[in-house]
Amino acid sequence: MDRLTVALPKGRLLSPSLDRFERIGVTITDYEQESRRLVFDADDGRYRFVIAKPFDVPTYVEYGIADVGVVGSDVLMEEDHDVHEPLDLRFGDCRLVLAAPRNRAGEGLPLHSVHRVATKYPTLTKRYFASRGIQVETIKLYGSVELAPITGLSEMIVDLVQTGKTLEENGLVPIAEIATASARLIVNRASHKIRLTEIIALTDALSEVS
Amino acid sequence: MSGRAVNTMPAGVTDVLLNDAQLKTHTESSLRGSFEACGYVEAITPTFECYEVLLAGGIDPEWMYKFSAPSGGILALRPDLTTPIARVVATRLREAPKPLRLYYIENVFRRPDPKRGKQAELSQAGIELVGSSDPAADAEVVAVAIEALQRLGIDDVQLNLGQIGFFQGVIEDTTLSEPEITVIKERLDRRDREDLARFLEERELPSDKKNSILEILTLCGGEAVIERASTLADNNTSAAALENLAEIYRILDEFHLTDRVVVDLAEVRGFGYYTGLMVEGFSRSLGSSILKGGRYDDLIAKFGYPCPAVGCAFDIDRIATIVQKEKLAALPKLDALVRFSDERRSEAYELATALRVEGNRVELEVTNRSEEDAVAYAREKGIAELIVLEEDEKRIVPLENAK
Repeated sequence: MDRLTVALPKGRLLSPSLDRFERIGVTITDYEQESRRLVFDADDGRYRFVIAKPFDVPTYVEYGIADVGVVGSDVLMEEDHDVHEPLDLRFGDCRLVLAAPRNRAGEGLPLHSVHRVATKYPTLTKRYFASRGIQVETIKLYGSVELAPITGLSEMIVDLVQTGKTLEENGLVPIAEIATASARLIVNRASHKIRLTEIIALTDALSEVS
Repeated sequence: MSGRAVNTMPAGVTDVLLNDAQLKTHTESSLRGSFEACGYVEAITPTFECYEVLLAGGIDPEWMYKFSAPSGGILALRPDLTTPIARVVATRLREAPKPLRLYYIENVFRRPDPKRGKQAELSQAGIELVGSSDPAADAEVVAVAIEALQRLGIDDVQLNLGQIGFFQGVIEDTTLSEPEITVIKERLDRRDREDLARFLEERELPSDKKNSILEILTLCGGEAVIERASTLADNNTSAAALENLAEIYRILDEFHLTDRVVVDLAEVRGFGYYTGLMVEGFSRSLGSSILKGGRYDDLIAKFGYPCPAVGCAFDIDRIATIVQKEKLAALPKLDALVRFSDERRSEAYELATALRVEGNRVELEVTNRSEEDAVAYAREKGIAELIVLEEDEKRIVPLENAK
């Protein structure tokens, strides 16, 4: 039987993902946290893991390079990927929030003269404001989004928060919750059909430890 | 008009060259051979049609490249071939003896989109079996598809068979609105059980109905799936759909093809025009489907001639990439390059023609380059020998070691 390839996201979801696989008996003694390697084989030879940027995980799965993947639902909401999403893994919970500098937070949304919103999530941001009849210019950033209001690049930001600590340290407060997100198991459409039994076994096992 | 050459290309289109072109042609001619062996005849329809005609097919207008005719009417590039063929059947082929077996090998055009692919121009081959509503016709299309893909060396082909009537039956006697049904379909399509369960929880539906909709997600597997599905839906539409699918399956069993077939009632996505069987084909070597099809008994009627039909379309571009993985054919090499001095042009042409008639692939020089340059060119292209005709001599320079 061919190996099943699993795409895992670099960053905060990586170690809880590996932990879930370990709990269903898929161990990788080969794996070293500090290593720059991006491909690892599980000890039993049934799984291969590839480590990708979170926003790239659905791409690897959609193209069938990986059969399954783990990714935050924020990524799936932001980009339209043709993949199956059979399981909420119930970890990595966080919120996508609209945040503003503390001194402007009390003004309320419709009265605010919001012109520019910096975010890693331009699609969700545009949709949120459009549904409220507000036009904004979204500025796509690739990281450290909190920097944008501090430096005057934007008036507000839309970003993912877990504890809210980073926002606080940068003088920002959440003024609205746009969505909640958690880690999802995603599956390539063709793999889900051709390797149905294996995928069901994996989904069921992961569901039990979620 | 001088300056920089314009050589950009629109998104979603591609040049196919050398080995890729050869593989594509090989794929097409193999499929053509398979279709013709089963009695299918070719139909060639125009690249663009009246927009209304394509719209009648029920294809999402968003898919289409539209433009205006000089007369002011709206035209569109065909996004599929089934709709144009339905138009042809309802007009010029109305009187033709049925069943009609038609095939096509053509390009279709769709606006690139994540849900339907990034290619704007796709090569499709397809068959349409027109004029029979018998499950035997559905089974024939499935059988032709399996055999055609196997003939291309794709031994692990898997065809998933669904029946649109099953899902229709499950939802038709409910109070669900059209937008609600769209949400349900979208969640079934993502295989997102929890999200679907949450959505159903908030609807006013009998709990066994909620359960039936949720269980659709598990209806994928062998023949036993049909049995299990029938316990979930006690309405006439679903029952008739399952009976039809069971009959198609029985026939495929008699053809000894069920090892290539999976019953898949979890797939509710499809073109708007399907009314019965839905087929999707896969291979392990590829992360997306290589074939799609189904029964469309109401489509030809939209052009004024009620007539049942079933068919499927092969994605040539994707299939060519797996053929490539399994048997990469070497580009045929040229046998000779003929180099000559001006006074022997007539003789050189005669020699080249004689060799060509014998089945050799021969190039005749058209430039005035040195013999050294001609040899370098022939080596680079892997030409087997250089034939030199100059003054009184005829020399053959063998280049076998050329790579």
